[in-house]
Amino acid sequence: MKNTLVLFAALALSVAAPSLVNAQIVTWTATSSPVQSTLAGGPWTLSQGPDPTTTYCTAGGTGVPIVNPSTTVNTMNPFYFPFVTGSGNNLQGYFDYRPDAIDEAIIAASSKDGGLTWTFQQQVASLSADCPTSDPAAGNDDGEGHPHTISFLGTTWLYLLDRRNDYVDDAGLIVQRLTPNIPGGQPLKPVAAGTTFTPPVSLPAGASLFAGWDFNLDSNTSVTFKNITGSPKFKINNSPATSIGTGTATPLGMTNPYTYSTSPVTVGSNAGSDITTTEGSTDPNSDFTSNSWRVRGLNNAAGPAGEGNGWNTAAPQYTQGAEFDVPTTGHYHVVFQYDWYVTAQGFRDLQAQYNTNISNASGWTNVGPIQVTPDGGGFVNQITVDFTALGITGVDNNPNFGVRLVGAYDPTYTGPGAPTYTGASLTNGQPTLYNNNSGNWRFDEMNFFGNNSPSIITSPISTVTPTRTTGLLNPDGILAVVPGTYPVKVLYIQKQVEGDYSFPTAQQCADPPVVPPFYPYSLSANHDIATVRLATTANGVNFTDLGPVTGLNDSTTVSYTGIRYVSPNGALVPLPNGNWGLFFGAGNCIDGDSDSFHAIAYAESSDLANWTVYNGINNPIVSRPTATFTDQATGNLLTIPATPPVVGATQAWFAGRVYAPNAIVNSNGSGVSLIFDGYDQGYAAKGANKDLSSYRNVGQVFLSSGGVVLP
Amino acid sequence: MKPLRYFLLACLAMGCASLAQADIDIVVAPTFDSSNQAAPPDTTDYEGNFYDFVSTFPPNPITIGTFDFTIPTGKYVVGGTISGTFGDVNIPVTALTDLFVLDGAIQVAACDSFTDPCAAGTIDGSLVSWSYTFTANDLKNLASDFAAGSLDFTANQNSFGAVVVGTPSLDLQVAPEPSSIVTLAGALLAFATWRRRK
Repeated sequence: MKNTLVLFAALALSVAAPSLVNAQIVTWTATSSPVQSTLAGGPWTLSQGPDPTTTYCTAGGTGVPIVNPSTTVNTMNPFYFPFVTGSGNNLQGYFDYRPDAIDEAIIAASSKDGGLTWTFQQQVASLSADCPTSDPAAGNDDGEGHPHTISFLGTTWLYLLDRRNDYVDDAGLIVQRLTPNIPGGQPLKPVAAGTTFTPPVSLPAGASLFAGWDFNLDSNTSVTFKNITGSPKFKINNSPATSIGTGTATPLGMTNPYTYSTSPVTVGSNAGSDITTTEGSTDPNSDFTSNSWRVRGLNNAAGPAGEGNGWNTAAPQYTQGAEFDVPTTGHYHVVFQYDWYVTAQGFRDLQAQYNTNISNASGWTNVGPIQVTPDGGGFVNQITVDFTALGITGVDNNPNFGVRLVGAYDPTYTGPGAPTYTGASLTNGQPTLYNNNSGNWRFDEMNFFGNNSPSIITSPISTVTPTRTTGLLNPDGILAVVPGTYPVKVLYIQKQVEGDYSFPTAQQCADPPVVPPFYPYSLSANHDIATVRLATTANGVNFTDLGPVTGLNDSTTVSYTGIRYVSPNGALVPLPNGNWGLFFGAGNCIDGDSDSFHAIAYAESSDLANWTVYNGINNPIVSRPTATFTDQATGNLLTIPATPPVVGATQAWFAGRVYAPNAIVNSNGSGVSLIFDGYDQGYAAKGANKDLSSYRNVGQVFLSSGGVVLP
Repeated sequence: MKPLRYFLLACLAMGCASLAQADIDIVVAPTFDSSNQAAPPDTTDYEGNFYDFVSTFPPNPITIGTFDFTIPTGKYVVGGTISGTFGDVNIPVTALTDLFVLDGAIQVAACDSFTDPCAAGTIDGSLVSWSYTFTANDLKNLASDFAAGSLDFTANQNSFGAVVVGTPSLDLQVAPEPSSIVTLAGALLAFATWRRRK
């Protein structure tokens, strides 16, 4: 009998064991209802006037952006992607301040009540100091956002997403070291207001910017082309002067006999490069709209022979672009840095070359990777070639040195004519053959740096900040930092814009459903891929990718109850016995957006690499409104979420979006303060119907860990 | 006569006891070196210069500051403790760092491992405290600094990053000097003798 009992007990334990291993550690319950946070002081907020053109700035909209006194308390919007540190109720927050179509800036604020109320500290990294009425060149809201900080080894680093179309999800995150505690107690010492990436204003001792072109003082001259029927005149500049030092710039391959597919066709081209203004380079001149050098033929429309656009697929690889010859005499550890712009139809791929003896025509050698323009073209800024770091000799102290930036065949193109050149604008995410009649390249801030002595072993731009992270793959932002790790371990979001066109159709989102009253807008399907990955860094700048994690999302799911997307700025919570909890923004095909704002989800892991979601789209912590949808995956009618959200019913201020959760453990370890962001649903409306009264709302709710004491 | 004798014995006992037990504490914060990046209003923490892998590494030792104090006349230091945190209210960690007093002769704290919470951070963001109580031999070696009313506080930085020390504090226990005890005892004995003759 005793043996039987023992056997039964062992059997029961063995059956129970797997469920014990995978059991959820914390089941969250809400101890308050979500409320919108307030901000004392700080910049203009939505409640300060429905029309920002008259209220955002002083003097009825014509003065300067207002700064509220600390006695003015407003509902905290438009702020989003909060990043919050601290303990208990004493919090330090960094927020992405983004008044629609006006500005984007990083705001620091503090709270003493767990995030219910905030006090403004400072505004930094602002895209524009302009008023909406001034229609500034930089006055859209694609600036720097998604703030996150990492502290290790006596340093704190601020990471920002460069949201401009030319950089977002392609370039590395902007990273700069914070030295807080300046007079006044502001926490963001080195980030000057109103700045974006610009050439360095100061260099280490012995280093200099010894040659370069910014094209700002250059102009075009009228030239008669007697070799063209009618001897037309064009204003061109095929040899722009240096703005610093000595050098020669020359267009390459723009004078040629190729055929252009204009209607009727044009045969032949003459070099017709010119100086023109272009927005988006790192040149700080004129609010970031400055002169650039446009490389092309004379015309991109039908014309007489010799007026072709210059760029052509008939040109051999590496023969079209521009050459910059710069003597490096007296300069060592030469670094070449430049901004490259491609129009929507221009050549998509660029290869840099160098020559240590420019009189040797066969001496041109590729250096660095092929550069690829973003979809639709735009600037790719501060492409850097550090010859010494690459182990290239013969560049320093050389009177016959030169570089070329030339068109390269698109290695990803396999269509007709491959290998060949493709255009900057993708079709369904795929490159297409260059059109042979339009598009061009432009250059700005062509800078050559060097040290004045070979004994200086550091790069001449080594101490320049901010810089960009390396090693993070298509970073959209940091999801969470693992505390107490060195090298520091992070979870981050890789976003591959329009990356899922290569998936089978059944694994791509259809256009989102229209389900009034809560989902009333007709939206387009999103085709991005969001992947949560692990990485480490020992210095805050250079990261090593450790690969994707599993269990948080499925990039191929079209189920409306599945999590397809994850967004940055989540919250990692230490759990007992070395386990981890993670709050994160979760998205699906319903939203038509990869920013992952359908719900705030929760998952747990014992190793940070393999996760189990316990509160997903269908039983969320916080969610957009409950509605009944025809599920794309099954065709069945589903009420989502099936289980009411932990924090209760959806409120209007987060009915359109809810994401970016931060969880701060309270003083006795019995729960967290969850600080998150929400939009009303009207922000998704198109055109004049777009509701700008309640978007980017910061809110807060307290959660209990259900008796589990958090470490 | 007996009460007087007891009184004298008690006085002697108290004087001897004071040789081993401090009668006051002197607690001071350092005056920070100009290399401190934690500018006012924060005057309680030290945040050193940042050094990376490519720039010139700092010449050790790094001067954090100097503890200045005044030992009252007729008293001497019978014990002392120096304490603080790695990291401060702004930056919760430090570079790998050894902390010293007495021109590097006495090591008072160390953060020696990249994975130690002093360098990598704690799970909950709290600061790692450090404390060092001077030994009898330390006190002997420090005697001239105590007498001069000044004690140097330095660091050796051993890694990328910056030295960050929060709220460093020197706590000195002082007591009357032995010579004072002897003088007091002599005076009491003279007083007793005078009373007996009288």
